[in-house]
Amino acid sequence: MSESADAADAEFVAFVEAAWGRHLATAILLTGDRDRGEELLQDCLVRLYARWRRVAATEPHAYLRRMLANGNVSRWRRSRREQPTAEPPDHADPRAAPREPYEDLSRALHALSRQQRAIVILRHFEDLTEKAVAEILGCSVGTVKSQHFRAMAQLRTALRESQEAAR
Amino acid sequence: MNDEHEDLANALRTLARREPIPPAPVADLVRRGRRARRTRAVTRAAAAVTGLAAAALGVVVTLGSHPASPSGRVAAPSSANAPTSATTPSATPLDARSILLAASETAARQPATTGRYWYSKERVWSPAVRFNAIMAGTHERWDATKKGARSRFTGDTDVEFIFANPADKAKWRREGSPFIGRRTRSIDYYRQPLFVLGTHMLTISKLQRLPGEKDALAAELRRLFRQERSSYWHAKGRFTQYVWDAAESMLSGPTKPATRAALYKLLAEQPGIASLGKVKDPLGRTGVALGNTVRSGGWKEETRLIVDDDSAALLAYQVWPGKRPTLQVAYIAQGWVDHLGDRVDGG
Repeated sequence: MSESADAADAEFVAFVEAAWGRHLATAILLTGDRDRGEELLQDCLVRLYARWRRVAATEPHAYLRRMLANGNVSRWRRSRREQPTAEPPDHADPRAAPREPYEDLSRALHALSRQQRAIVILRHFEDLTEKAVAEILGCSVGTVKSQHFRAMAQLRTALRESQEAAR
Repeated sequence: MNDEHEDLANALRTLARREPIPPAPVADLVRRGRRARRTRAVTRAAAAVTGLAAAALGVVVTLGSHPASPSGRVAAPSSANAPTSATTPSATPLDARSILLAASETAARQPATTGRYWYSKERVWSPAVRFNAIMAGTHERWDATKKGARSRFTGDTDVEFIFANPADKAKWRREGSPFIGRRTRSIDYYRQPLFVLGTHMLTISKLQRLPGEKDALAAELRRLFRQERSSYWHAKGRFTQYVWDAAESMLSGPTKPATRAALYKLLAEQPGIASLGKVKDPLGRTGVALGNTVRSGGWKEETRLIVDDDSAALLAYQVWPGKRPTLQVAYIAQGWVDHLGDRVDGG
């Protein structure tokens, strides 16, 4: 392997080591699952490696964030059948078992559409501006604003309802 | 607003970091990245050669002209190196439209049946969560038609991990052959089983009420598609993609034969669906493959449906983001049964 290839690899490795924790957290929030989040991030990093020379000179973190947000949509298309879960929401007594902290938020977040969830995560977890979120998601700032407004209203309602149910 | 933003940011941080963050599998990522880069280079070179040859000969690459795909790229070569799927170019491959219209006629001849449970057995190949490996597993479902009745999903059985290279397999063995896939649990449940069309969730009875005539089915799918606009964002404005995505759910679910026939006719009218010729599905069954490529935010991937040309049944669904499929579902057995635990032939 040439020296320039070695240098590019070293640069990529340094980027992964620095970016891993931060972007894994985003991927977990986007997918709602640790394993799926890790799988999504790994797939994105493999693709990023193949484009590294071009991307490294620009904004690799932004590029990776865009891949994560759009890659999660791509992945979503593969879930054609609803997977039954062990939670029996139709007969569950919310007081029967102690609630894990932030479990309600997790449920409320995943009741949002993918776009709304991505907007909430990019705005509040990644602390990005509306313009930056619009660029990542390939939509207008107006769409980000309106979807963010709706998502927050839905989150507030869901969290209020689950708090009332728990009383 | 600022307080709310801060509270939500804190809550999201806690949510994302409930479990310890594992170290980055750097060496594995670099190894997989190198392989992906080689694949990109080969694919680009093949596309360039195809383009040059077509230009030199004045050839127009058209739909279904195997081995070229709709994008003009070279379709997967006869796949001696593909362990779970193989393409066998036929002498005179039919175009996608002819295949779909023939499938429509076959589906229309089948009797409409119903029952208490829709039984389905599938084998799924999907990426493992560690190593460069694929997990294969088989699961079964008994979907109750009656609201409130018990349904059943059995988690993966006959699990197998298939490694891309011996070094990974050896390392996995040295670690004690751990489970490196995503676990699915067996469960009996009482919610109505749901089938996904875009972001719509359809119960069995709704799925069975889908129209059995092409124009009416197109109108219904367009109505659902219009409702998707705000959330089905990756495919905004692309009805073809919506129909294609819906096809996998509809063909693998308990739709009426008339609806399947109408769906095949509707697919025959959609642009961008290519015939990839006779293939063997991951279980070695012969069928015809149809492919559709979707592009989204710098991603490109082809999804394929493999259809049995004798029965018009869906044999398999595959996702090909590159040279090899990353996700494959083989439909082993499907049909109506009267009791939980009963199986149809082949199940």
